[in-house]
Parts: sequence; C-alpha cells; structure tokens
Amino acid sequence: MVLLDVGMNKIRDLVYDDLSKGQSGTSGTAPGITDTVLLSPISSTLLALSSKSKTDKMITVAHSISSTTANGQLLQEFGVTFTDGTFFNRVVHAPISKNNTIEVDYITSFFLNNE
Amino acid sequence: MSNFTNLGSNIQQTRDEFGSEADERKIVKIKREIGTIEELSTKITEDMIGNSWIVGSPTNGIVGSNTSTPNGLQQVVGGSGRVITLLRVVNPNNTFKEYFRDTTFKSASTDATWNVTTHLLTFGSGSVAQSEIIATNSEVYSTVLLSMSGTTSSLTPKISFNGGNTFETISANVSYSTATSGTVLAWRLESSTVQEVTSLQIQYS
Repeated sequence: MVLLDVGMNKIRDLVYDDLSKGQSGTSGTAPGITDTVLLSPISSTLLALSSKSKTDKMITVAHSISSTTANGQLLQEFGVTFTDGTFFNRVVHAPISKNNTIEVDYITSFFLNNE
Repeated sequence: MSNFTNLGSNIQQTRDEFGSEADERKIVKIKREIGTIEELSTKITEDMIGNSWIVGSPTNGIVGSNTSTPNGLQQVVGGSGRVITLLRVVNPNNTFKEYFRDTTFKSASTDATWNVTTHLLTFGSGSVAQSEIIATNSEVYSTVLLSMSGTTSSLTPKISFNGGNTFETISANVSYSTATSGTVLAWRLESSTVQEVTSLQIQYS
C-alpha cells in the first residue's frame, strides 16, 4: 500500500489553486496550530500573492510588501490565505523595521510528503 | 428445584454438542499510509529601492529631478540601484528540511549533482555539496542534529555557524554542540566516493 505521487500532486493542485493572498503583522507570539488568523495583522499588507509556483509535490509562494506600504511598522508575523480568507500557515520571525526605502519579500514553500 | 437441576444439565449437554470455543482467529493486518503537508523554510529579503522610480512613493515617486531617494540620486524607471539583502530564514520548529526539489538553498560552491527532476543529490569521488544560509533569525545557534536518507555512509557532513565562512565536521544522527556559536547556519557534505542523498534535515538550537 502506498500513497501515489499522482494523488499527492492532485492534492497539491487543490491547495495550489486555492491559495490567494499573503499578509504580514506585528505580533511576535509563537505560532500555534490552533491559531486562525494573524494575531496583529496589518490590513494594508493583505495582498494577492506576488507569485506562486508548483513542482513535484511542492508549492512555493511569494508575498511582497512595497515601499509605500506598512511603513513605520515592526513586521514579525506572516501568513498565506486561501480564497475564502482562511489562513494556511502562520510564520513568526524576529522583528523587521519597515520603512519607505525598502520592499520586503517573503518566500515560503510547502511539501506534500508521502515518502 | 429439580427442574432447575435438569435445566443446568441440558445447558451443559448443548455446550458439549457445539464443542469448545474456536481457538483460531483470523487477524487482518492494516497498514496505515500517511501523507503530510510540510511547511518548509520561509525566506525574507529586503529590497532596497535605491533610485528606482516608484508610483506613490514619497521619496521615489516624484517626477523630475529628485535627490530624496535613499541613495540621493534622481530616480530611474526600472530597477536602478536596488540592493537585495537576506534578512531572515525561519523554519518550523527550528528544523530545516531539504528534499532537492528546487535550488533555493543550493550554493554555487556545489559541484555534486543537485537534481531537482530526480530529487537526488548525487556525489562522485571528491565532490561536495554546500547550502546557502538555511537559518538566520537574530538568534544564536550552538547545537545541531543533522540526519539524511539515501546512501550516505561515506559522506562527511559539516556545519557552519557563520553563514558558510568556516565549517566544522560533525557526525550524522549525533547532536553536535560548537564551541563558537553563531547566528547564521549553512551545511556542507563532502564525499570520497559515489553517494546519493534523497533528503536532509537539520534541527538546531
């Protein structure tokens, strides 16, 4: 008995097609699997993913915050959402001070593992 | 009373006619198949806008001569003066995983075959594979545990706590603590014979 690669890639496609936006926030609280949203989201950073790609059993998404967005904020959390707004993940990182001289880019990957 | 006695003997007779309980059972073994969705690394970069002309920017959105850009130069349509800097690489549960499906973390120092089609890292005699930065998050790291799958017995794993400037030799599947902790992790594998890696994982703290 095995889970087939083609089946895993079918699931990958279902997830891939529905991934829609990224968002950043300012909470440094450690992520937990019961989180449902970012804990301190910055509304202006809820934007369509700047790119997404798929390879064998893998999805990679990118989210960009432009030089005109979220300036003066201390970025500490990030997440990717499906089209209905449900969050798929939540990442917490050391603070990044956002200002108008920089853009900030996030790249995250997901792997469907049947090995 | 005697009726109850007769009833009891009848039950015993019935049991004897049926015989004893079956002493053989059919056991069905069920193997569970587990598939998981793993969240891998998140890379966060800063892109200094330089003197790129950007609509709506208070410093780079002005038409005409402008010295308010970050580098003090007049803005140019396109990507002029941009500088990209890696700020963070974070991994779930401080565990980096590499499945060789992309080259995001492949260093140019690699001469082993990092094949994203077959998902194999293949070594010949004397070849090496090295990663880019796999973890940095304004934290100090001093302990790692590296594990691999594949044909890896002749590989020499090494770890860098300073982003690939210097490497320390470690043993796979054995927790390693360095005397000189650092904030930026990278890995390196060296081989003296043909070896093949299908996945690699590093836990760190």
